[in-house]
Amino acid sequence: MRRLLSALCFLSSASLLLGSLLWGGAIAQSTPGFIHVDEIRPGMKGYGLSVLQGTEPERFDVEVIDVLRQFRPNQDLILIRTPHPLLDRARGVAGMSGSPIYLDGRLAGAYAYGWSYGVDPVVGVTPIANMLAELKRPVRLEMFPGAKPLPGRPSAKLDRRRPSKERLAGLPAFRGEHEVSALSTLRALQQKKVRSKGPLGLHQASTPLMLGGLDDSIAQMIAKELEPLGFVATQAGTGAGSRGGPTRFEPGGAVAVQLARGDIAMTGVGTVTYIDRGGRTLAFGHPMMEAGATGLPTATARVVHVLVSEARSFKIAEAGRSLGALVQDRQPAIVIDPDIEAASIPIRVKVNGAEGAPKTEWHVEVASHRVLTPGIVFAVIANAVKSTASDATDVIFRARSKIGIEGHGIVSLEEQGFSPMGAASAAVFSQLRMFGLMEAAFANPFEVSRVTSIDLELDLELSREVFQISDASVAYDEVDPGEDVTIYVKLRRVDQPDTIRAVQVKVPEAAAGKTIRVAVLPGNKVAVEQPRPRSLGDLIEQANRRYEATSIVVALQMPTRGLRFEGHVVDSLPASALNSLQLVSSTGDSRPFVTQSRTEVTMPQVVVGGTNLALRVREVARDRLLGE
Amino acid sequence: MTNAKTIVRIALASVVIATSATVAALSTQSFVLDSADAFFEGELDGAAVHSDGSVRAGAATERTTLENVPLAYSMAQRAGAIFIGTGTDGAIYRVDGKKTKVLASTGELLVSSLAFGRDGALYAGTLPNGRIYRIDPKSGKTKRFSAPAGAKHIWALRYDKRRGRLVAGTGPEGKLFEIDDIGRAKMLFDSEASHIMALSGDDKGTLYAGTSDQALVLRLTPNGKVEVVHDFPGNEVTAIDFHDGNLAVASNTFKTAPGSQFKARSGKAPTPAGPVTRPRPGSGQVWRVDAEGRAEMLVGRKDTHFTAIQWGPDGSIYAGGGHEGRILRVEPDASYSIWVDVEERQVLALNLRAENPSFVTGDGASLYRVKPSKRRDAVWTSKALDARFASKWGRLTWRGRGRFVLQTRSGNTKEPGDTWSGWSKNLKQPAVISSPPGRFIQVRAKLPNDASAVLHAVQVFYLPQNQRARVSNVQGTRPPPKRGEKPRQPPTPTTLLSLSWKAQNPDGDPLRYRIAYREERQSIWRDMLAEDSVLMDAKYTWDTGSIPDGYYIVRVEASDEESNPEQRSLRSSAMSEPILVDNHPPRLEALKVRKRRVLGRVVDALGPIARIQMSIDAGPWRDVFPVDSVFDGADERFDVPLGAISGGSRIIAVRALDASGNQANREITVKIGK
Repeated sequence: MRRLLSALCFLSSASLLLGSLLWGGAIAQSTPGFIHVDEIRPGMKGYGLSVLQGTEPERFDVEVIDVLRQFRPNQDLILIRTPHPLLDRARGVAGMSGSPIYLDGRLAGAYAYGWSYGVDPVVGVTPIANMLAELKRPVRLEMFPGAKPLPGRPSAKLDRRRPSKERLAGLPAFRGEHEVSALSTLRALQQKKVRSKGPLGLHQASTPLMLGGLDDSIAQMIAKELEPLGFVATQAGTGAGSRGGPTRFEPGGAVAVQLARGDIAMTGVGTVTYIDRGGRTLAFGHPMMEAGATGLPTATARVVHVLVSEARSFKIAEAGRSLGALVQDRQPAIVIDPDIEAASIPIRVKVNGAEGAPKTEWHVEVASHRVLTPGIVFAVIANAVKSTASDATDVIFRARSKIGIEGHGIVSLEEQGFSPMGAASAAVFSQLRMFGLMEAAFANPFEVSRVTSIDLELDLELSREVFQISDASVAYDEVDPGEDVTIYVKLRRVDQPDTIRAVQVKVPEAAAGKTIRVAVLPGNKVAVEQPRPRSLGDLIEQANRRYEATSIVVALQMPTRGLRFEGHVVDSLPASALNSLQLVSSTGDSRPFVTQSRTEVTMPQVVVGGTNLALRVREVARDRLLGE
Repeated sequence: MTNAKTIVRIALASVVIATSATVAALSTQSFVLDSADAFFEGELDGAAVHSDGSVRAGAATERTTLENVPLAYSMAQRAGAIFIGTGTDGAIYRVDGKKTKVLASTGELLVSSLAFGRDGALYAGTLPNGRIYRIDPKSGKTKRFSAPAGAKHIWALRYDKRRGRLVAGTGPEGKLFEIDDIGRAKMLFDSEASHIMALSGDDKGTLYAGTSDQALVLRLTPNGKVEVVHDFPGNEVTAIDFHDGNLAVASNTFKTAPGSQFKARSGKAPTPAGPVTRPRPGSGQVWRVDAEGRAEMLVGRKDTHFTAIQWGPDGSIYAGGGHEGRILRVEPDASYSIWVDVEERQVLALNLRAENPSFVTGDGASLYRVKPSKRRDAVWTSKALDARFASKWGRLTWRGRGRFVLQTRSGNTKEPGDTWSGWSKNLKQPAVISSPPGRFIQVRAKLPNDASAVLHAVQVFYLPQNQRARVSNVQGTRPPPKRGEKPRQPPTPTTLLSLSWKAQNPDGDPLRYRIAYREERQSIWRDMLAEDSVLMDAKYTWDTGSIPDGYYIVRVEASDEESNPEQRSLRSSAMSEPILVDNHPPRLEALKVRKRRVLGRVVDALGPIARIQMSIDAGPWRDVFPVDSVFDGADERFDVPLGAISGGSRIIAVRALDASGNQANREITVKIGK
């Protein structure tokens, strides 16, 4: 019996060893300088490297507790203890992710996981074999539009195949049908990501996200948006003065992923684990967002301090010299290619009219990423406006934005509006169509494109000089079909007497015998029926097809319907034609809507408010009945 | 037209059959298809269904499909070439024999009208921008020709010989324009309607216009006078055709005004993206207006509106339908037939008097060319006939003239599919159906190559599988109070117990019920009815006066033996909850007065006691509670004070009721001390 058990144990060990060899351990075992996970035994001692302050990596002792098999799919975890005066207090430290761990003088893996509220300095190490495997993935520039190899750097290894359609899988494509905001794609990704802690509070040593130059409320907003993706946001500096930092990556050195830099900085911080002969760098020991092939700017970094916290300790750091691009964001590691320059979007925000504001023009470069960028741009603009003009008061604004969209040049938008809550409010930002355009550029189903530049000039006038639609009336509410009816729109202005604006509309003959609704609205509140887009160009064109905020629109709801097709809108259809054009044999060819007959009146100031009334239309006009 | 198209008749079996001891017996049923509506419900492939309830060979057609084109909306013909205006890419196709090509692309949504001008050019009216294009019919060279002011839709184009101008009927302002040779549009007439949908006329300059939403036909005389020819019912005259002094009119009613299908939200701008809805057809009428202005409705259909109309060369009116892709041929005597049935949903334009008679369709764009001969291989196929239950098929018979060949197939799904049997072998004369048993059956008739052949009726006999009736919810009308339920007032005592039950009877066979009962603790069932007493109602009044008090269980058995032979009849039964039979009053015992308190005991065989009341000296009855305050048993004691009554001789009366309402009374005369 004992012999049988021994044989089973042997078979079991052999199976494990064979399995390990099969999934890639062969590289690590046969390569000098690496220790394979199967060679690691409890009690083994070694050291790790990480920057705890400044730019020089420091050694810290480690002792192996044991190895957890299949901790992640196809990935073991080495449990270690890190006896160190600082780490004994700090335990798992965010920002140390990627710190190389050496056992028996050989690289075993990267410091990567910790336990929430753990009282011992016990962390998990991602085996180096899993990390090295990520270096085999091809780098395809097409996957992150705008990125390019640096001049004079080798680029032969780049895979220049066209990206497949599947790369859009996992994110909802913008179809031109749904309302979008600057954060909608980000939220879509958050919903898709499941980042639950393990039953014992296990977490990856999350990526600290250093936010510099941000107002508290904006920092909280962006933190809330990015934390579900694996970032631990904290406020720090912009790192603008650290250009003299390290010129290259080194194992144990700090590495920064720059989501935004300039007057505002958003920097993810971790540690370099390993650099191959070509300079490609492995870091983090865990994913940043697990976004796969991506292209985000990276830099060296300087650690200012390790903040010890009961909840989660983390490094406070700031970016140094820009260097390379994050090209793979995978489960066991991130991969940085020093020969690639990731695309970034220059943003200029100029706020005029904020008297005495110390800074009115803001310059920020934002990483070009179809999921992250719209949210970050939103935060950058909101921050610039709030920092310049935080007055929570009545403000009339005029926004002139120029959005560079790859393949479509510079798109100019101009809009006016009013906010009773100041310029830095949702009331203003929700009226800026540039955010919708940005979403369209990054996530449309028609072509691969991206935003290349953003220039926003915002003229503010702290004023309440607006026309408020307070009432609308008619001389009589029963009207003739075909009659020209005057709608009297009462407009209210602060400190001035009400004015009446007469707007003449024609009652449609088709409304005979019916009651029709009349809506009186500011121009920018009118949802104009748009054709279903056939291209990104259509989406861009539609952004400018609307009424101005400085107009009153009187809209009669007609008793007929129209249809929206790709490239066409047809309204006021007779019933038989409507029936014929609503196709059963084809899915979603047309979209019905209620026909509106609109009359626009231009006003000298922004119009707000709105009202509606109903008109009863006689079956037959009185003059016809009377035979006049 | 009624919805009931298929008439299911219970075939009354003759005495001979009934006594022949065959399985075929009383519940044999049949589908009889002998009406126009029944035949209309089927599919027609080259067959024509007439309003007199017959099927004949129909028109032979040749189909040319315009690939990836959603709808063909308009057509014109010249020199043997057919020109088709399409949507939703605004292309114009030219078909020469077997050759089809895109002649021109307008870039609009829909080419809604086509007409040739005197210069030989093809003019195309479009929407949604209300533009008219001039197209070289050979080269396809396209030029924007005219855009009448205020028009968004060009519904009809006609070259008016007398005026020497193109005339355009437009929407949504209901204006009629004439357009000169260089495209300048001059308004001829501004109607009160929203759309001028259709134009027709004669060579002398009289124009007829059909309108929406008022369903008028207007006449514009050569001197510019406008008259209303007729105000048709409904809200749209979609198509008109003036020929030989007579006018054919397609007038339609769309029940729901299109705009009102959306609920407007007050104070909010309407959402541009509404739900995608499957279009519902309107109802349609075909009218004839003769030279004297007499308007006569020839056909009215509730299941379809009409999208196109034209006089045929033979004096018939042809009307294209907006539902089920059919063309009706209406004879001068107002009888009509489904002349053609195509796979596409709508027939949108007819050109049957042209050199190459043809028509086009929507929701799948096709051109159909009508052949001069009758269809040789015409087939009529019934809808799937539902026997409601798996059935054994009997004979298939038909009535008609000609050598028809009929086939059947059967299955158990509503829509015929892969799980159905194949078509049976050809039946050239009435015979037993060979298709396997099933719930659904379809019949198809192949018409002979004989123009005089006519099919008048088809009958399918079947025997549905007998279905077992299910009895449930057997109950008496005096159930005892349930636990926790507030005790009811005792009912009026009676020995009659109303029994009722429910019977689920899927096939509707007449059911006979047998009832039995047993005392709860016994096992022997006793019949309530004699064997020769036939109960067919799901209720019975049981006189329990002759059985001892106790709890009884009633069993009801349902049998369909009255309508099925013994070996096919099915039975099922259900039992009641125990039912209380309590016909005897409780006993009042030990009634006495002691120390100005009335004491006593009420005992019932079954209980529970429901109420005790007491009266003094014939005074009002007042309720008395038992010692434990709760009426919950068959044996209740009471002990109540007499209260403040003066001394002397008193009559104390006590009455008690059990839960079944049986009442016991007792009085005592006592002398009360002061």
